Amino acid sequence: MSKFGERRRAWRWPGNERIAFTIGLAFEAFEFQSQYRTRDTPGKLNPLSLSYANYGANVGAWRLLELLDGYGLKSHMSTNGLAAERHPEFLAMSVKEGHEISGHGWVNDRIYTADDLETERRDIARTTDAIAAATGRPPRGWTSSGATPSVNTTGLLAEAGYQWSGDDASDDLPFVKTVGGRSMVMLPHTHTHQNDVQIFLGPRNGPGIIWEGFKESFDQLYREGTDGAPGWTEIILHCQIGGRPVLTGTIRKCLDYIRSHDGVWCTTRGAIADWTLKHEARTQ
Amino acid sequence: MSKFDSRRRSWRWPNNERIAFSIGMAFEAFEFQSQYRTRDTPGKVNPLSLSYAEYGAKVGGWRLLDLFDDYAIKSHISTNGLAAERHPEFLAAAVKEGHEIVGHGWANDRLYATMSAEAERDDIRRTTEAITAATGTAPMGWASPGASPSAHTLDILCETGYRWSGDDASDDIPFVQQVKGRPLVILPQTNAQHNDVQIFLGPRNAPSIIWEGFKESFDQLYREGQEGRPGWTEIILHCHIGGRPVLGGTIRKCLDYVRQHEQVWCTTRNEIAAWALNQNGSGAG
Repeated sequence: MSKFGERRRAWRWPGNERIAFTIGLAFEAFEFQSQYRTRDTPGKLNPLSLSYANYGANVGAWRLLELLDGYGLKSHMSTNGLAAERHPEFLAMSVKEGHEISGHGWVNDRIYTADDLETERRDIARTTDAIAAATGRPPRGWTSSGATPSVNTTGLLAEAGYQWSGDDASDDLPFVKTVGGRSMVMLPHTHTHQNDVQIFLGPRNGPGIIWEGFKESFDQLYREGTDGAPGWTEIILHCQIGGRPVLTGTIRKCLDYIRSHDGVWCTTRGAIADWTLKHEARTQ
Repeated sequence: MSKFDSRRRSWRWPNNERIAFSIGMAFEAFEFQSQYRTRDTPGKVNPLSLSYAEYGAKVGGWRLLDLFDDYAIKSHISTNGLAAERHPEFLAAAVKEGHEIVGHGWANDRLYATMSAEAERDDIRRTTEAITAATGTAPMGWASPGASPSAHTLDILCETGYRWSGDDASDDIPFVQQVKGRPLVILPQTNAQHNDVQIFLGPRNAPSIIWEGFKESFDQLYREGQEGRPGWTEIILHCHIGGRPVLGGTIRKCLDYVRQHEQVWCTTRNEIAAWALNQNGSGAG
């Protein structure tokens, strides 16, 4: 064990794997503009920008379902309520394939501040209901729209019965937080350099950047896992971004790399949340 | 010697090394938002963005301490007062390892450009006290939060007893400035292209951008050092950024590269500052 190894939380995965890997999709809808635009026009409709997001339900989401089927992988899908309302058939198909649907706000270009408590509560309810209507059950987990929660969000999620929140970036491992007297599993961003909107579309980088960041993170965590301190890494692909042909080869490269390693727990966020509660109960 | 050599300041390192190399960490805390965010929300708390910075004390800072232990390398740690107050145990461990603590403002998103001189003086004082309480020693050097000093900063630093400031980008080697009649060493940012927030997180570049910039800087300065014009280069890693797994391999690549070269002074900012004062005697400049 390294000199400062004992300063980090003791952890293991269910089969003592060296590393956990998950893949997340995002199935989004927007009110005014998507992440694809040459000018920022908040509050003003940009039809071309909005059409970029429609690629998801038209093409990209199906391409990704096919890809994941090819690799036998299950994902979680961060889903905006409006997208669930518009495309319930995609979500129903995804659930049938074994993917997990999680909440992601009503529309992705709407964020909430501390003063928007009632609006945020209402939008969480609308989103939860839309996903439940499309899939037959309410989502267990949530990641805020635009990766920008408010100070009220976690409390509202606990109230609404959510079991996990992805609104954290403080660790390579999940942890449990007590919110309103209830346990909320926090699943941190272990995808910061492997998230197609943050690292590829936003800064307009080459596809290779996702491979590079992923391989570096994986290798470092795999080494640490071999030394008894396992971590978790994830790739995030938005149906309208990573679902486009420009990223398919890179995604395959990443998935092939995982497959070439032993001791990887290929899992889902739901399973990680369940394991976290179990691990927490055991170590208490 | 090159044609325009005489135009540049003559300089040497203690054992006539061809280049000096240092590595810095940053241990930060924020009030509203960190450098990781999809939207700028100044003055409004973004809990996810704040949680990104907590990675430093939970995981990243320890990972970097391990890495530096492996390479037997000492660093300086630019530390926000709020981080020192929250996590004195990390600073105590770092000091025990031989790392130097540097003042870095109270919160990294509270910038001096927007403050009164009085508020800034208070901020610098509180930061200095928090670091002294956590480590037992007052910090010798300072680097302003968000790399944004004000017109008052140097004066206040001098009053407070600081010996060096990192708030400069005008050279490849240190120099001494007279501030209120006392010599203050200025340590320029020789890390501009190998600073994980500026070149990696900010613009969302690939990990290899740090290696590329570092190798280029190092090679050029090493060449000049061989010709009698030594310089200084540095890498900066924030505990919550460079401490993440995605940069581990790249940092090792850079450190291995340094090790492959002879005549490198692997040192720290406090040592460089002490040497600069020594070179300048009474600071005639």
